[in-house]
Amino acid sequence: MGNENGLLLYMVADLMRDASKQGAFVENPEEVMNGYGLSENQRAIFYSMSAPRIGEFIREEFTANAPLQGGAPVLPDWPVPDPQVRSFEPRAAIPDSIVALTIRGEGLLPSAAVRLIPRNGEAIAPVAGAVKAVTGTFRETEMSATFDLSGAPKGEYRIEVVNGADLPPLRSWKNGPFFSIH
Amino acid sequence: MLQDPAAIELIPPDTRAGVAALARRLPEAMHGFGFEIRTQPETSQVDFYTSVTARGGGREAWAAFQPALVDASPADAEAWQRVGAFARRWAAPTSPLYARVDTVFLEFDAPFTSGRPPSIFARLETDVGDGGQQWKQTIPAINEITAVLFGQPVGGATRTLLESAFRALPAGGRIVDVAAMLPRGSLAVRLFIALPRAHLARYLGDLGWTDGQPTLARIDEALLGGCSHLSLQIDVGERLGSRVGIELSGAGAQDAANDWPAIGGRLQRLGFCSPRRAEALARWPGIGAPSGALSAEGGRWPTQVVRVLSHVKLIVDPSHPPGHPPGHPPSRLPGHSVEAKVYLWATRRYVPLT
Repeated sequence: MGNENGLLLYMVADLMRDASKQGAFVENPEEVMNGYGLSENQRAIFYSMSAPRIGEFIREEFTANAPLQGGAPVLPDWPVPDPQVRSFEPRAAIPDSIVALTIRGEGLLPSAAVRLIPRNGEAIAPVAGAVKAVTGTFRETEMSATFDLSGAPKGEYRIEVVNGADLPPLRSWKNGPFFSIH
Repeated sequence: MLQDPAAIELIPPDTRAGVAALARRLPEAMHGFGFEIRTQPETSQVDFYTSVTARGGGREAWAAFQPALVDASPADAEAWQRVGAFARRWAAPTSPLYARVDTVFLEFDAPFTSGRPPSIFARLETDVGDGGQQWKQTIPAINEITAVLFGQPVGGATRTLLESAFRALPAGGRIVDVAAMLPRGSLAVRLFIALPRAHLARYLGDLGWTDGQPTLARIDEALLGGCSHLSLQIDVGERLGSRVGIELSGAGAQDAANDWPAIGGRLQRLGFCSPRRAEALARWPGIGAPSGALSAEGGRWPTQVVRVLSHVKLIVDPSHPPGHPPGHPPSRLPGHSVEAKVYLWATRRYVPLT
């Protein structure tokens, strides 16, 4: 049964405490890793069998996925949505091209408007995108959108998703990574 | 954890003893636990809640668990049988609960006698979509939740009102939890609904809840300012229950206007929390000392208890006249009677590498 969360740390934690999961892994490791949605990089790190390497990678995953508040990880059990843009790909495109972006996050609605906004809010016009599809659950949403970069200046941009006129816009990280046109 | 000074300050000794005894009667499948603290009116009653998650084998462990019931009344024993049946259905891959429910919360009202059943809250997982799509996706699971936990399917009027609650959802709204309040013996379905704050009043109005709107507007103005989203609790029976709960959380807030100190300050100014209790609540968040250790010879990865203030709930009941219970100071919010509760949460986590 897959979590499809893409985190190596969940698979390792489950393997540490669940004998049936260990058995399934011995039987067919690729299928188990498929179930956790692991990337090729995550698989390579796990197959390395290097405890420091795996440990450091899991530490990074934990830090990235447990936002800190006063030193304590914020728990995920609160049911109120926390709409946000978590990631996007690709991270770059050439000028004057048309690029299809996959944007992942929470609560990205099919009715949303999506834009590329200049990193520093300088006087460059945002690039409006067209939402093609939204799939997944409210908590794990995947949005596909295309952007026509014709005439858009080279530079770094943030992703902005606006779910409604009376709701604050959702933006990718203030400190990057950014979407680059170069 | 119950001996931590933060717990001693907020939870009376008899409640801590009751929780410790209760915890020994629960399976080792619980994901975390929490306490419900009443701040308006301020009382010493503290309720206890815990959760089981589908991930990591929790639901299978719960399904295989047989609670030891002592001194249970026939009605309570029968309710526990329904809880057991629910756990087993959740763990059955053929059940609609298996795919649609990812976490179940159990809430125990004090005093924690072994025979008293918990209220059951099933957290639904739905694909992104409007209320009609959510209804279509989750109705098989909701039918099973209610049939198993109530011991009978919900009636036609209740089902119609449930469907209305889904179809009236605004964009971005989501039915999060479906609950059966078993100790109260009610056949009403409690829904927890996450939605953008800007649509709260209109949504309740669409469901016919109008009498409490002036009080709700005052709460919105005085307390909810920093929230873009919140959670609404309603009771759906043949008619909509008059009590509604509004929940907000400072957990994870990115802006200072909506973090816990800010919310706590607003609660105090409204008379919803005494300064003394607010100070005690502020001491709850924290991280316990690590237990367990890894060494070259093996051992356990160290873990620690993490405590957070989870959320605040305000309950508005327009069927109750304005005022306050004898012996308690009035709230500073004119209008209908308003209750306030603060929810604590704690869970055990692996100690991250440093």
